[in-house]
Amino acid sequence: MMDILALVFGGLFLSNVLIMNLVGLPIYDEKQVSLKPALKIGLLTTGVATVSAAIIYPINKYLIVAESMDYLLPLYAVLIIALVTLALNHATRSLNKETSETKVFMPMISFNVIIFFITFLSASETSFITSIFYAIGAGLGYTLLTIMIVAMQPRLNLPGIPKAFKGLPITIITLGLIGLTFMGLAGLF
Amino acid sequence: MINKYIEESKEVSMLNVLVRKPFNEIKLTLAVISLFPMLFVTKTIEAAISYGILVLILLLVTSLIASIFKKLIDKDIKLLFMIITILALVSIIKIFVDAFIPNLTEDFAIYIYLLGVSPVLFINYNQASYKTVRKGLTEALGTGLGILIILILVAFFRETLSTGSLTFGRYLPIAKNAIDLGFAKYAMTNMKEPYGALIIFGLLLASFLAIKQKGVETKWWIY
Repeated sequence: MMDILALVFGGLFLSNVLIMNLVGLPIYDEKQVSLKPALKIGLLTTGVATVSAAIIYPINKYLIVAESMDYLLPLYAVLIIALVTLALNHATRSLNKETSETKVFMPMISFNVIIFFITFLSASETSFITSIFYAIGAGLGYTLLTIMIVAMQPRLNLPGIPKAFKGLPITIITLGLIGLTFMGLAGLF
Repeated sequence: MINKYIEESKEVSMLNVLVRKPFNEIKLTLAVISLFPMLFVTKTIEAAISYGILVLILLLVTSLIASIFKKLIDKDIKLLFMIITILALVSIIKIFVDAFIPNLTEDFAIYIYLLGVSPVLFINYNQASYKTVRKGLTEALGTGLGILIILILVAFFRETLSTGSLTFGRYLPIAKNAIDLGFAKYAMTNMKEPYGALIIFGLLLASFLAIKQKGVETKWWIY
């Protein structure tokens, strides 16, 4: 139980994919800054990553590693992620739950580097359960950082910041400083 | 729908150091997104050079394939062909790296695979599919060199600040040596961590904007 808790905690803070692996920078312009869509995108990404990890893990263990076909893993991963995204898209449409966010962000999710990265790393976990919880933890970590970026955007646009730093440069530097803060939690588990 | 996004990027030229084109927000935002995972490998200058060369080779080969097959590939299957071509090329490159630069695979294996879903390769492929072989290759060479220069710049500051010296000989087939820059005593070891790359990249981006825009504010485009 502690192992699983440590995996989720690690995914949220210590080994947050966005800060510690530099994967999947979310960029929003001023019009898009609101917490609800950001939360939805984060949770959608977590869902797709978890389902893809659940499918990829047995394929990797019993087919790719067993037959020494490591070079095929990226192709399998991309195809499975695309299929999962399409299925999710179809499900939201048939359940009439399709929102403007799912419509806009679904194509981007299917080619999001972060899902590919999470799926890839979870495939190399020791067991099926840990791979699922790794994907959940990493996805939640991504969601947390997305929300943080969206929440801090208005403050980063306040006057006082030099013009050259406004926008992406200050966001990236702040992300780096958040990473530095997260490292303070090392040794908790 | 994905086709639409890729079609929209037809005229976007990123990081090209050979062709001087007007500077805009879309170009810069796309460039930053593409560079983001690549920054992880900038722990040492040598790693950055090795990885940058891999990206350059991939860009050249993808643009060559795109411009050769532009008339043979139907528009409806273009995206599928693009994905499979790029992933296959990345897998081939990974096999070569396993054989010739095993230390790079040991340290950054997943980042080599990540090139298969990098926007820079997809956009380069799409641009090359509308051009002649020569123009496509020139564009790819310019973009690849641009990426290489940025990676080397970030790696230089990161390695210098984190260790106070520059080390060579782990990845490339050269003799192991270290250039001591004389301030190892004051090294900021935190810069060795991935978030160090973020801080340095943010500062470099701001300095670039300060020089390029001369104080004009940038609005970032959503991707």
